[in-house]
Amino acid sequence: MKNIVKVAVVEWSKKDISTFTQAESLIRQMEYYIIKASECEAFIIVFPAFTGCLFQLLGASSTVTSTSDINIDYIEEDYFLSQIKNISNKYNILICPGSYWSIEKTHEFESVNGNSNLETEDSGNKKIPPRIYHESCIISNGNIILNQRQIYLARWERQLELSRGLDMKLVNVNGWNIGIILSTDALYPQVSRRLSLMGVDIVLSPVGFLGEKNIALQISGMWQETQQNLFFALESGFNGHLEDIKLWGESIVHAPLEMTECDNGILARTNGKTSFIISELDYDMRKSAISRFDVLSGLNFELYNNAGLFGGKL
Amino acid sequence: MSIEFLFEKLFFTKMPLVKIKTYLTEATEIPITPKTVKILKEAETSEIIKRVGKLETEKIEKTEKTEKIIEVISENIFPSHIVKVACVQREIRLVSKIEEYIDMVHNFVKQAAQEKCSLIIFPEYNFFDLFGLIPGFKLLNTIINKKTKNTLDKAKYEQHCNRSKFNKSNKSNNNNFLGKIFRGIAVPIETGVKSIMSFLSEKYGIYIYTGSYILKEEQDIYNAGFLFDPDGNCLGTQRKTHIVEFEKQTGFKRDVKLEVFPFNPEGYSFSDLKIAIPVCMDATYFETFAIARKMGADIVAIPIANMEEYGLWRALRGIWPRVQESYVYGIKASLNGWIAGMHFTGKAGIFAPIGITSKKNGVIALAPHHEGNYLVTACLDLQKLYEKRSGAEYYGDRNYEFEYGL
Repeated sequence: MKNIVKVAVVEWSKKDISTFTQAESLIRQMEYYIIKASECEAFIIVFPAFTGCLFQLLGASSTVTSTSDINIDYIEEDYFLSQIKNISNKYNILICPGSYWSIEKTHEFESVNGNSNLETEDSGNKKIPPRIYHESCIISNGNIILNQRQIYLARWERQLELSRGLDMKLVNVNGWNIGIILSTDALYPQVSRRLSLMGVDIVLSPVGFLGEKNIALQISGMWQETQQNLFFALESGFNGHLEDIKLWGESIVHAPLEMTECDNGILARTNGKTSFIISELDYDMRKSAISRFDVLSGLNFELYNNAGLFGGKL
Repeated sequence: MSIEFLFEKLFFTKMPLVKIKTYLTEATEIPITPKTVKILKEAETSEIIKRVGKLETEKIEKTEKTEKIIEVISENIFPSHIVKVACVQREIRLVSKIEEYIDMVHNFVKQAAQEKCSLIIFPEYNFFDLFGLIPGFKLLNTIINKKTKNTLDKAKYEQHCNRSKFNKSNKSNNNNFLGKIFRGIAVPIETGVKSIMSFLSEKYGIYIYTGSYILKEEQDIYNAGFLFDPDGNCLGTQRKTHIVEFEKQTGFKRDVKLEVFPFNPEGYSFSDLKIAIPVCMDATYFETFAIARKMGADIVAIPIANMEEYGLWRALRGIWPRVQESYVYGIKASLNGWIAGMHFTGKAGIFAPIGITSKKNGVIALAPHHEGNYLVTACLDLQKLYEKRSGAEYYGDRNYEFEYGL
């Protein structure tokens, strides 16, 4: 295991988003940052949430005028992922391509009571649209080594009738346990806790928050999740419009407060001044920081079970 | 004879109930003076009046006795969905006699009542001042504090040179000494404090959370606080559920149950308002607030005594994010100062979900400095909380299959 690794995080600015007039221009810019990160010998690069969604919308732009009009035939995530897989084959780096809308093909038809998935309208069952998830993944050497669906939905995502992921996974690469906490999930602390109890070392967190920029909201998300779970977190923000939806987010590399130079839990951040940051994650320093503020050792599972919190599942 | 027994006997002698009650009666029966009227008027003309535009100076001018003042104080001048609350930030000051401690507590309660607050929250370890009753403690304390401050200065220098070497240098190793004292003083202090707080809550018609004290049950000790209603009744006890290393070493036990208490000030329109009051480190865990919310709490108060140097980011690891993720009002009372080589810092404050606060930063009111004495007050608009909560963008979604693994 390499105890110190470099990581790279990208942020899309409004200007970046406005220059992506075609899906291909977005892919070119992604490859530019992947090359840059590889040259810095970064272990991982993380792209903002909704990067794949933007690709899907750009690809379908000739027929779609607003998010509510999305025709799922045009937004298969496979094409976006195949582009990233091809790039991945050329560089020795883990790539988290942000997020995309993933269509669950096995649920294309489902009976009203949800028991069957191969019924047709002719059999008297109601045809319902396939389930769409907000999803992210990690790609290495042309393969998806981990994918993660968003577990909780924001109000606007519920209005779009997205579906929720059900479980969380980790992947171990070079001795580091890596997981993904996607956008809205950063504001639901049970998600971070679950991953933390699974033993995550590095959390990749593509984000994009609705509405006007407010850094206080973002700090209440992944920054504080890092502090109460003591992992590293790479937060990558999307700034701009996704059709009629305005999103924002700053890219920040988080670490336990005790190991950061300014005592602020932040190793690097874009501060609105750059679109690309590189940082070093030091496993031993994190271990030392945990020994000074070991939150997880104080968890009171008996209390949580007595209260029936999340079914005692945490 | 054990040290614990000696301390128990000493504290029963130093703070007898009869003496406490007599002094409390005298201290709260002081006739009104022109100065008192002036103070009341100033309090009236402050932000409270700007908010609701209802000044009742006539009643104050006609008032001559303390009881009358209290009558004016207890009258609700707010819209019925708004409740005003207070939290204490105070510095440890060793007392030579119990009367000094009573004066300190009384002054905060009186001020909160004058500002028409329905609830006042005292900080964690709200009894350290009483160590001054131990003969020779003040001298010992001065020596230990001085020694630790020197060590801390050296550690800060080392930290400056090489951050990775920095450790918990200001956290002294006097835990065994403190542990013995805690066991000895627990019962007499609990008895005395309950007496003081019960008296003051009834006298001023205000809910009082006592701050935390040592609760001794058989051979176990807990860090716990008590809530009194405006009739002077103790509504219940909350023991700390997540204890820190220092407390583990000192022999504290943690509780495995969280309580919520009814909080129904007179004139208030919601009849089933509930408050939870976990202790300090409990706010570092989202689970605490999630349970409180699950049990119906809309307000969560946290008494703290943070044994670390103050930093904005460090402070952000507690109640503030908990309020954001659980969508409740949060009240933080804080103890600061030095005792037995331990340095406590922290700002008292009142917090709300970002969407409710005017500056969109989740802070309603905050003490201006992390050391010193302040009473922080604010109005909590419950109707607004309920409205914003029901429409919140990033709150309230459920994923039962994920949560329960169904």
